Amino acid sequence: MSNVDFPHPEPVSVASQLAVLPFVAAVSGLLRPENDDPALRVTMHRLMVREGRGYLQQMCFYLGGAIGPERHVGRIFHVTEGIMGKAFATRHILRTKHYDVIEDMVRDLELDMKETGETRRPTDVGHSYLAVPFLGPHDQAVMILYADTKRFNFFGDDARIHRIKAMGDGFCRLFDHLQENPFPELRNFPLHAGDPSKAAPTVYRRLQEELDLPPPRFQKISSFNFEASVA
Amino acid sequence: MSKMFPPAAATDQERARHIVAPYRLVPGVYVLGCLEKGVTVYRQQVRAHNLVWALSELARSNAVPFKRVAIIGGGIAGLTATACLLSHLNEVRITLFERRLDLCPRQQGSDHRWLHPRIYDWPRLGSRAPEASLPVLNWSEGRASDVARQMLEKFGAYCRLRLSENPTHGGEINNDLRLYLGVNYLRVNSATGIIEWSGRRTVREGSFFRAGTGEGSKEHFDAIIVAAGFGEEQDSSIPSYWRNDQLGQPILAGAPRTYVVSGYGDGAIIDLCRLAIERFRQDTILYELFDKNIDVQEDVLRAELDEPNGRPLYEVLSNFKLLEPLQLKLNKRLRKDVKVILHAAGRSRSKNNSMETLLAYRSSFLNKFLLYLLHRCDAFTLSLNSLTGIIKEHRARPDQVVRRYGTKQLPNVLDLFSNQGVLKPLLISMKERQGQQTDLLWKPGSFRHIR
Repeated sequence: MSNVDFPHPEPVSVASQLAVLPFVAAVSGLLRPENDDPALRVTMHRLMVREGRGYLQQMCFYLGGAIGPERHVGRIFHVTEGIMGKAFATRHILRTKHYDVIEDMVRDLELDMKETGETRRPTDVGHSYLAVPFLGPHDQAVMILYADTKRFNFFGDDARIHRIKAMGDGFCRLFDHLQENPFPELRNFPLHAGDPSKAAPTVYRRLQEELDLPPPRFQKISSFNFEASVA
Repeated sequence: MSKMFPPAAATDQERARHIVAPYRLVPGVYVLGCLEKGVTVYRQQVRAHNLVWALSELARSNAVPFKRVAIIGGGIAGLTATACLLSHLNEVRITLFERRLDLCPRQQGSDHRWLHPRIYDWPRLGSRAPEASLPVLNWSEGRASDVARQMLEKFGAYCRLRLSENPTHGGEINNDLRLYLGVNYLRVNSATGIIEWSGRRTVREGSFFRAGTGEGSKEHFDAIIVAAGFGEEQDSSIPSYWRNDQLGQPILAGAPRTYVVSGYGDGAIIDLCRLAIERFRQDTILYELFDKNIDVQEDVLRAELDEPNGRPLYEVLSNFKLLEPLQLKLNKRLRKDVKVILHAAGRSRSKNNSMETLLAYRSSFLNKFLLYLLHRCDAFTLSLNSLTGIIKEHRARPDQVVRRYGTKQLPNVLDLFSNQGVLKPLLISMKERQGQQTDLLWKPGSFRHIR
């Protein structure tokens, strides 16, 4: 995943990071017993708007095989970036499809990487990807859970995706409740809506597939920007 | 919703040219927010980000020379501009000048002024968010003294970053980054780009700086950014807005007192609120008045304010459907230990201000909203008599008279230049145009963010 257009991160409030980190940690905790890949990565992105243009922004560092690095917090991407971009556009859960043999996956990955102008080698990138959009009341993507790993066919397992989706449903229920009943010094401050900032899509189109499974959905939250105020 | 400016389709170079134009006084000299109305800490910082990004874009294509940059003013605007340069451009030599013996001198130690990044934009969506969310010198709401401390620590971090990336300079302030404090003499020749000054070169102490030995010099700069900031009070006998006072504290002994607030801008209305409302704070008062329904009620207010027919604010507020419950709540919060007279003519003897005209001025909406509510609650007396007459009538002692007339914007800037005759009409025109937008116009991801 490259973000040459946006070399430096923009701030994400500590409260917003803290709001998503336990969930991301729980998802990575769910995945790790079945995945000893040190390169497993799970994180959350949100739609962030600047003066009318919408971008995807990484909300917290990666959790999974390792924790960090902090410099990735706040990174900005066009809404067309990779599997996240496809999940943003289609509002569907996307994952790397199941392959019967690894050679077929590598062949598709090579073709996809060539098509999207990737300069890395297939051995340097993930072999299984997942993007779960969290939709808002107007059917728009508010956040996107992102995960990748070098483990072959890891997200091809339907039961695993169903469990993550169920966790996402619980997350949405909690934050809908907090939207209506905020903590006195900690609440969600809305972000403006905006036109998505697009570039050429970089999804691996052969590798990834849409799932026919309703993604998690907020009833009350249109944008995710928790901030803490002084008492 | 703010206007998109310049057009989103423009190239970075085109955007940069659009952004820089309202700041350019003459080629190579840029005035950063000093002559704008509604100057706030956050808005000045946004302008600093916009200007530095745009100048560096133009420098990239050699459209402007940008190797040696002077920044005049070590307040929040000047520090933000300097830190933006440190964050964004490695090859620029920066010299910062501050007249006082410390950086951020107005806000340091100011414990009674509450700073919030965007509350002056209320009820705009997101305006209550307590964090500035700026990539450079980010901060959260707090007392002005706390905000100054956040700024200075982060400014120190950007200086350390620059020094750590230039190890040949031995980890000390060097010619790539010079800070002068106590600059008691400084003259800019805008025609030649030469600055002549005398002041004390700083020594870094951890994240902070202290004035070292004095020196005087004269040098040419490719770009001069004037960030003279909030400036001095109109009347030099009036204590600065930022100096600590006790207006917001209950009177501990004796009879209720009468206070006179003279002025009608944001500073005057804030002090009126501090005198008239118990436990007043600009951000919490909104939650206290609106309760849990604040998001929904803001939507209602925004819809009424955005009506295309452009009714006067007095009329909008008079017909605001939520007025009555808000008034009831505010009534319970009025201070009983003071009586407040608002001398609405301010410094001008001829201003015949009514509530309707006060609401038409370019103050923050929140302040005008509170002013109107206080008026509905009969929490102050609006007086158009002469200030001397009011003081005499109410036997107000000098410490019971608050004068808020704004700052001397134009003379503050003009005094920096040697060729004032040429520049004065340009500065007046710049002040009239009010062209320095506070939308976030730099390309996202341009500045290095230090938490």
